[in-house]
Amino acid sequence: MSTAMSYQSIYSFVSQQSSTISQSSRQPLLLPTKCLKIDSSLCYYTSRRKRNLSKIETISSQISVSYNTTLLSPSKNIIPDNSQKKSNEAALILIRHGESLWNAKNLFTGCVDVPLTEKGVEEAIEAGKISNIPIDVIFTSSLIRAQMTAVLAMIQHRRKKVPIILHNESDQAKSWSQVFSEETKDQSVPVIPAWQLNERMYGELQGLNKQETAERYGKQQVHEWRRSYDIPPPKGESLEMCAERAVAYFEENIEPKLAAGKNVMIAAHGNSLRSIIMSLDKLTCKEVISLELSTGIPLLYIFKDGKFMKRGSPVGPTKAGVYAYTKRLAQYRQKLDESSEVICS
Amino acid sequence: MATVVSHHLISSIASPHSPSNSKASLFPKEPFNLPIKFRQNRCFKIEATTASQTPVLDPLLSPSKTTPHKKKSNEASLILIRHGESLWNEKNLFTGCVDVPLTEKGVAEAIQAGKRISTIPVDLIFTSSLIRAQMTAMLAMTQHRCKKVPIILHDESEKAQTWSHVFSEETRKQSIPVVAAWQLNERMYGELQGLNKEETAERYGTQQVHEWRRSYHIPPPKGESLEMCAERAVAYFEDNIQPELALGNNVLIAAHGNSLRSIIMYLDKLTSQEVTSLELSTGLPLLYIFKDRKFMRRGSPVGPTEAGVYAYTKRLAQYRQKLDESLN
Repeated sequence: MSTAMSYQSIYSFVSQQSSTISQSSRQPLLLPTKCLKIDSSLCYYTSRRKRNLSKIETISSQISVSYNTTLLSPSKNIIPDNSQKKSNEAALILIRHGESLWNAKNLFTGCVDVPLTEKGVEEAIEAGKISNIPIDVIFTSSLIRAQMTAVLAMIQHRRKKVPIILHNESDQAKSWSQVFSEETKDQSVPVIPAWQLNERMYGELQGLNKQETAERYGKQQVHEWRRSYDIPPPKGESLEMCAERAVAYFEENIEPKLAAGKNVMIAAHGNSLRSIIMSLDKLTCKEVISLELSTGIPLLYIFKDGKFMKRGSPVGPTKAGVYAYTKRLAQYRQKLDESSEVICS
Repeated sequence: MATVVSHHLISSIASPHSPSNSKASLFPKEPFNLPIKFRQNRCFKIEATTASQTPVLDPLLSPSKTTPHKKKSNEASLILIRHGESLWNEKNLFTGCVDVPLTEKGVAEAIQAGKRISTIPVDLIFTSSLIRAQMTAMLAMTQHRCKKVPIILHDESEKAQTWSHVFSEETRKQSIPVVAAWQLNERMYGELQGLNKEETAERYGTQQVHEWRRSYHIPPPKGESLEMCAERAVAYFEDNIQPELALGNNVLIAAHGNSLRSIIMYLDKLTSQEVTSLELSTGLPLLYIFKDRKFMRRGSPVGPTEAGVYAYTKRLAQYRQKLDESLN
């Protein structure tokens, strides 16, 4: 039972991930290295990044044993550790919004605020397969297609927390949107809109038909604008310019959250997201211009020790695959499963 | 066929007056189709125009014409939709102006509402600044048979205006401007926002809470009374929305229980007693016809498959006809 014992000690540090928009302290997950006693199967799937189903099943059954004793006993407070140590790991999810009405019409959209089609709505709901990955704060652009994508994806989230869009356009907007219940705040996920995460501004091409534009300016020229790194369309932004403001925003506002152990979701656009990915994956200009992001498919990164590790696309709650990302995520998933059992009983 | 011609004018949204020149300077001319009163309130920089009365949706197809506001029609439709279930409705929490999104059910309600109004013309959309109302409008319009694209106007800064500029005349014509206004927000519920309805009753007493919720002029602590909400919602309606209707533009308003009943109070000339007992169903569109400066209530459109929608007015019947014809 020695392995069970080591799990027990690990799990005494497990805390409820409570995300708040107030100042109340979050009790993040602490996984002191000495407790990672290194059960070889754990190392196996975290370091080799392989999804080994049988190992996962064994581990999860052991996890459930210790969970029952530490968290569900009535005398134990669900918020355990007061030591305020932060998690040394955070999840970052990137989602590119789905089809918009102008995508469907093949028009250059850029920063024109065009909404989703029915298909785009479905893609957003489908992206909710991230339902087992913790989310503490959401960043979106100031355009409705990204915001709708974020809130529609969250409808599926198993923690059932409520995304709330923050308003700070004026003092009145701020005071009018205030929440007066601590408990409600704990059950909320703040959504922060930022123009810096907007799609690349396409200048004089905005609203133009892609075909017409090719006829007007010549295919070569249009291809250059669309696919070069530093050539902007007339009165528009180049990818370089878009990357500059998107990555700057990411570094100043989003990375600190990750460093503090907060799990972040970003719902944005093709160009603002590939700019960020360029920074996360340290791509060259050449590499980024040929990077295509699928719409509506969430991408997961793990931020740990100041580094971003790409983890591909979460496949959804029915597949054991999601357990393999990191142990912390496996535990989070476990906790969700537990709490839904408790509700049923 | 005069009425059909006027439909044509209604459904084309040309860019206003002066040389619609795509090579214009970065200087933001009025963002396309921004309602004139709205512009004036926000002090936009506007190039010299022919008349301050120039309508927002220039009915004239040719940019060289300088004649101002010809009324497109002596009648306009006004549709009111109250958004559907939000995540806090579901949890029975006081929401007010907290920006909480729709549930799956609320999404379905919006789409359903859209089906009901799919054959009623819409030239301009007004929503509140809260996402549940905006989503309701966007989702409803995915069902509209005109296939025009709603575009949310941004005026929070000059940059926002410039960045959202549309450079194709033809595309503009196929667009419906969406104006987001905080004045159409739900009644601000002050210190009750986020509180559970039951807890609040326990904390303050059922009587007191009932008073706040159902009286006309008693506000909850740090919040708005219905009277205060009505004041800013109706003022906005009169200044920004009614002039558009007067010009023959068909308007859709997607908003909230209290902001909408305030407007209905104005449209139907209700007393404060009557308005406090007025309940608006969620997701059920209400149709009014504005004609000869009067608002005629026309109930709730039942949907395109029912002949009932023809009965509203001849103009609407013709609009419906045109949609059917364009399919063939």
